[in-house]
Amino acid sequence: MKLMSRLSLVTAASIALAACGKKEAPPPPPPAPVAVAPAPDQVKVPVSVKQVVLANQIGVDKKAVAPMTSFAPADTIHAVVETIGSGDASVKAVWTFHKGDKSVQVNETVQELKLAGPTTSEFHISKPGGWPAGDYRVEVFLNGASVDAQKFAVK
Amino acid sequence: MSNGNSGNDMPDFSDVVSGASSTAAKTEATFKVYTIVSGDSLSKIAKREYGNASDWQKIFEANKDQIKDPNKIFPGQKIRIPL
Repeated sequence: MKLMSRLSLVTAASIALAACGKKEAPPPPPPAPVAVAPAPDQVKVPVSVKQVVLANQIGVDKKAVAPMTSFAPADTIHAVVETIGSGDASVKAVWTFHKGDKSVQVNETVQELKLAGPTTSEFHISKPGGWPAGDYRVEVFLNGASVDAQKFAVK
Repeated sequence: MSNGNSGNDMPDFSDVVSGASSTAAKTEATFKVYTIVSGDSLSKIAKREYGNASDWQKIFEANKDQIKDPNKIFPGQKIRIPL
């Protein structure tokens, strides 16, 4: 009986010692983050120029009533710039007159815009005494980079 | 390429009137770029552009990054004229 008690005591002590030395299993690693694709309507498309057209009249939507490349001296000349995308945009129109190998700047106008999708912007020029007949050009810049140029004539 | 009135056989475009508009969500600024010529002053430019010489401050405010003294502008300097 005494032997049994001693054996029980030794066994209990061994179990206790083993329990003290036992390390707990590390917790499982957290699940890897899952990349969530933004909803299609949240994707930010950078601003770009879709097209530039010239006209002597625009509608309330700023779009050209009838695109044209030949104007009368008394016309107000509009350059309609259609853009897509969203973000800050500096849109510039530089108008020039050309005669032979010479050219002279007619006007340079800038619009600094915050765009939130397809946008129509227009630039216009007029001359109280009428436009001299000849060849002209308008170059459109987006954030400083030339993106389009259109030639037109005044007859 | 020359700018504005070339002084030779090219036409004078100094009286051209310009403007701009947009369907953009917000328009931060719309301005004409003008190159200063000899004899210009901000009040002369304001008179020509707005019809009122006292509007020179409007031009000065739009160009404070490059014009520190409204009496000191230089030929060739490009300034913003708010439209």
